[in-house]
Amino acid sequence: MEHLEESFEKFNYSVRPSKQVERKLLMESLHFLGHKANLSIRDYTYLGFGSIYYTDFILFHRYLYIDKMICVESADIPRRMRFNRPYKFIKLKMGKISEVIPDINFNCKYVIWLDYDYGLDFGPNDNESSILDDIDAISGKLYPGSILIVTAEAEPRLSNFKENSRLSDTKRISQLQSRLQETCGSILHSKIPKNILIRKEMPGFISKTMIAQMTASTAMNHHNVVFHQIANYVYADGAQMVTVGGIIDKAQKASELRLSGIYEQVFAEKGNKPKKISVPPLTIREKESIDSKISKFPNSAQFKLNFELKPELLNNYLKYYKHYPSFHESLM
Amino acid sequence: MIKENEILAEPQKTFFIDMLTRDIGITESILDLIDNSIHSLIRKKNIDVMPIITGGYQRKISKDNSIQIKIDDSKFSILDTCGGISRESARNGVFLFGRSEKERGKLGLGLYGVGMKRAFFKLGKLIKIISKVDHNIFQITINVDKWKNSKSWSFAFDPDPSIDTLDQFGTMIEIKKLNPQISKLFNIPSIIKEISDRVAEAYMLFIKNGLHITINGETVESEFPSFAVKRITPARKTLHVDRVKISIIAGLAPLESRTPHGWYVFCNGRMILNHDQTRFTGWGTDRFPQFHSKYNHFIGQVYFSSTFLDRLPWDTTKSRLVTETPVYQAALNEMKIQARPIINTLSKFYPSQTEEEEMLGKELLQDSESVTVDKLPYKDVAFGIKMKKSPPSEITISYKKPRSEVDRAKKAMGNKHVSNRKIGEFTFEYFLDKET
Repeated sequence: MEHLEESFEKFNYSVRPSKQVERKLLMESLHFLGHKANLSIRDYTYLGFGSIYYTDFILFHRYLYIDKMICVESADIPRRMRFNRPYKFIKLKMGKISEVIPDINFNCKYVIWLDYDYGLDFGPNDNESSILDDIDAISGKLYPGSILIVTAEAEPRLSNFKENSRLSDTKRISQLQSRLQETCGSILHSKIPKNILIRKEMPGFISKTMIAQMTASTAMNHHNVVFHQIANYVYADGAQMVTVGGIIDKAQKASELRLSGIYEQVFAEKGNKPKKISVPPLTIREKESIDSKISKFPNSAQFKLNFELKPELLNNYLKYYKHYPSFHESLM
Repeated sequence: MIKENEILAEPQKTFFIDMLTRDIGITESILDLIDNSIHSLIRKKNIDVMPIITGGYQRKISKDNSIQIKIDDSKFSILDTCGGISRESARNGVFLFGRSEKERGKLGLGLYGVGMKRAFFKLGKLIKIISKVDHNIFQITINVDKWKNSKSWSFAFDPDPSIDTLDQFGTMIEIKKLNPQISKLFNIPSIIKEISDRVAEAYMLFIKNGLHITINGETVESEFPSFAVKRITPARKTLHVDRVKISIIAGLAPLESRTPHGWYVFCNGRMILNHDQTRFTGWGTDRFPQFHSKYNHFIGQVYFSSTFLDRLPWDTTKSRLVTETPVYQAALNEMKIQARPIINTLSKFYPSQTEEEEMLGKELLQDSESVTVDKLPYKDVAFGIKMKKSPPSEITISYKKPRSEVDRAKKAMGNKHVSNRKIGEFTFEYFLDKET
């Protein structure tokens, strides 16, 4: 992925508040599924893009007890990846996910989180597989009961950042349109209109496309399974990121999932329109001040704050305060 | 006479004689007759050719088992020593149009119960079948025109010929009164050559396993396709879907083999598709690219094998695939997964973008050894290439300049007949010399 900036060089994953909230929500939902929907998550194999921080690997092992893990890394940093590997049981696979899939044994249950830092336009023009290709390959193979989660960027810009900065606004958008047509056109069976290539519309478009691909490819899975969508949300620490996830299982699983109460959870979304998860950046003093006022059923209207904070942001904080990360500098 | 509320829906003989035969080519018809012989051999001798590709114990076909085909403009004949048909199965099985039960439990090539009869009707009007098993021999003559006009659907045994009519246990089929078009084509040497080539491909696994097939006295030789190895690891993946074993092998063809390859598909050892570059094997579907000359070196093989013959993805002509079956869908998904890294690699090697990578691709193939598919390791593995670490020491620079300016430079150099390439090199060296 030489044309892409390596995201681990851009930021330390664990200090982006929305990302961290997402990670914790995912963990909580897996926990929930384990308890209420009879999925023995601790016996699953986790496959993800660990990056040098391995944040989700550490989290999923500590709190979900998963100890079969595969980390896929496409940057050419094998020694750095091995050096930072937090547990020996994590199998490290160097290469792009499309190069690793051919070698994966799919005869067991997986939790797979493909946490991309680029968009659906990437692929054919760079002689690589697109996100939808990866979704297609994996959904068509996963063992019943497996969980697939995919995160992709949802900004009206090209994933190839060199191209992106080289082109004028109009050229960039028409380039994006033609690339998305190439990658997403066939699964959507339609022309991609220019008017959706704006910041506000992109998340809906991206999630709709990924859901369509997951649904169609799962239908081709020979285990006779369907895609039970559970999550669809968007967050932005900088760039907007869309996450879609669900369980690939027999059609009969639907009622069990419904009864489990998973769809009433704050992160759950069965539709095409992504839920917004955004938490405001707060100082530690602000966070503690809000926290001290939280009652059993917090409501922003009851809050009298000593500082300015839009009611909308306060509401978001109240929704996700349990997952809000607190960062302290520590000398080690 | 039909009753007032009755609707006629009986099959018509002309449907079998004139219509069904349109769906199949001459070569496929001949292959159908060979399939019958091989099917009988597989059943009688428990032959499984798949170990050639997937490893394991290989039961060789004995030298005594052969298939001899003779073709000229007046007669077609096929004589096999593959075990023969018993009088009992001739009476209530072999000649039925369509099978009454699903073919399960043993490997084989015959499942629809249509191939042999259709081949008869495709080729000619007078068919004689003699078959010998143990101490029994029988003969059947089918006069197609007579049969067409009779009410009965059954054929009849002729008086038994002498037991020595056939040397060994086997079957002899002779077709005379060839259909005029067939007779004309059988007179063309290139058609016979084409048939022979198809036979060589379709039965390569059986031929490699010892089966002796001759056409007009000449032995049909087969060659397995080759893969480039050493710095390249061809992908191999084995799947089990609905009691069908699927083995997929994909990689790059050696440098010297520039003819486009694509996918080869086999069912129970019999080749169904060869060098397919169409949507049936995924090309140009969804986001998978159309076949393009830059993929000429792509070579993939898929082997389906099962004793549940009806679950294999072949159609009645055995030259096309039934792509909507769950077994084929699972295979297709895996074929795309295994092919993807190969396609991406070839795309990178392809000219235009960076010449450096094109060089690397060529060098990669030059450094490779060529190995036939049966010599590849049996273990599942993903496609991989080992690139040499250091980039090539020389690179190419190219640019455009107005002719008049180039001519001026040549003049300044003192030789106006010097090549453009030389002038490029000279000016570059001049710059290096003066400025560095």
